[in-house]
Amino acid sequence: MAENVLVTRGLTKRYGSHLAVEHVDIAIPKGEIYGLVGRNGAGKTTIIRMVAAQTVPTAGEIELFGVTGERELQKARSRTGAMVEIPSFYPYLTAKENLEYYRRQRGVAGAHVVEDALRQVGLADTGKKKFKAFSLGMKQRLGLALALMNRPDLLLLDEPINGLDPEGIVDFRNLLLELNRQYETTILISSHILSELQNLATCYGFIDQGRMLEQVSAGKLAEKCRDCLELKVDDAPRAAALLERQLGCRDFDVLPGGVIRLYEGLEAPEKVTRLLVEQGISLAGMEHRGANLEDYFLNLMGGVRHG
Amino acid sequence: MVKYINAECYKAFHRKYLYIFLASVLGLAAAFMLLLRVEGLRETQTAEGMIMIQQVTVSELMGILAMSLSAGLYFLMIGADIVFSDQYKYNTLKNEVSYGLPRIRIYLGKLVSAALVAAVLCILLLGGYFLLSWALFPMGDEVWESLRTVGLWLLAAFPLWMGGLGLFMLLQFVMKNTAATITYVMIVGFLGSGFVDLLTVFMPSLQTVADLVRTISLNTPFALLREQEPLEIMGYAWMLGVAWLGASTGVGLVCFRKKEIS
Repeated sequence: MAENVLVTRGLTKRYGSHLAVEHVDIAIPKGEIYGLVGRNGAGKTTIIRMVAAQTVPTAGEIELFGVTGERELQKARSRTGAMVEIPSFYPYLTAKENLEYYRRQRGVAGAHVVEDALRQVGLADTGKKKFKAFSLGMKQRLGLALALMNRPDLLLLDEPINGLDPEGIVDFRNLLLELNRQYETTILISSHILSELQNLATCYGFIDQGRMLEQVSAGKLAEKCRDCLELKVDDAPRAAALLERQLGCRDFDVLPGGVIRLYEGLEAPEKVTRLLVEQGISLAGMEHRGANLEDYFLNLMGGVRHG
Repeated sequence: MVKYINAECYKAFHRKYLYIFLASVLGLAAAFMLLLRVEGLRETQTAEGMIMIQQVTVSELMGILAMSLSAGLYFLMIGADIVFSDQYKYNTLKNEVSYGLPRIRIYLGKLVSAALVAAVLCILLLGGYFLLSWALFPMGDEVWESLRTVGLWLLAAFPLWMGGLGLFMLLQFVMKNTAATITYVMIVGFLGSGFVDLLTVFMPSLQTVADLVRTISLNTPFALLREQEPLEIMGYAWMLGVAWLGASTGVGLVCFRKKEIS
């Protein structure tokens, strides 16, 4: 079993009477890309800010690379790269000067790492252009370059693709996937663009009003979101046997409450109904189900889709 | 810590602000010197009763420095401002804490870097002042004695400047507005005693408080420097400066330890 890179236990943050994050437990194994999903104000940024030491937890514990405690965590954070909210740099310095400042401050060896990081995010040709003249997309790229400069083992990314153009989003996704594949970089990422998150994450945490509602692996989520025919019958074991014997179905789940989820033969549901009715099985309902991450999230939140 | 200071100095010396400030002050000093060179003639009478027209001398120019030593704190605040660089305005502190840099190192690193940058500013400004003096004016009779006195003044002023710097950095880390920070430093460290003195005119019962405020005001030793020998107030100046630096840094570290970084 892979070691956990980041673990939070009972992580809580209170601002006055407002409970921003409430007893959140997260465990992210090495090499995973963990997508944090939630509405605005759900507590995603606060969780990332606590991990990145930008705010002090009211209660709970953070474990990074197997260590806890303030002093040890400070050392462990040198193995992380963070990009939280809008990237912030000195407006009167160029991209190279800004990164050089942080390289010196962090004691990262070799001046070439600045050039490498800029090249990696496509900012190698910005020359003498000051940060204040950068577009939002360029600022995002520079923020990512800083997060990557020390070749981190854990990346903390809060809404990192805001402001990127479509080409930038694809480049960004490929870069993260490459880092994850090549260096086994673990990534904790929050994003509103759920379709993009679905292209990246290997596991998800759904958070609402500061509470963790569900944590699920991408595989399990795909399973849950898979297209299927959901049947509600009075005798599920017999119906399952009939489906297998008469229609040759192999890919289905029998769930409690007389529910059968059938993952094949979706193109001809009338065959299924005819068979069950002919064999005297009472069919209380039949529904074609299937969802993407967005639908799943909305269902979980109990919300509705807004057109 | 050395890496941190190295980075801060790299940033500070990449700012136009520093060079514009330096050029402006040196330009003003040069203008002042040239004005003195042209207009600064004075009449003196010899023992024989003859009237002589004389130039202002270098040793007299050194005396002017004594009157402006408290202005050194402004240069220090400029140096600190260049180093602190509106961190709260640009939200750049988050890049430092999220990498795991200890907050104590961040605080002390900026304090030491500010002192270094300010020291460089002071050396360049004083150097410029001395060079212009030597280039434009005659030495005078007691130039070495004047220089020795200036050295002693600087030695007495140094801890007071550092005390002011400590207070400035505390307020920079606690408050988010540089102009407000400078105002508070001037009120708390320098003008407070004058204000309390004024209050005692209307409320004589505040005399004890006024005495205490005057004793701990950073401005008091500067005022005394104009009346007394520097060596006489050296101990007082050092004790006061170190106390201000230590107390403000202690309070600053406690405040910054758990501060929200947005």
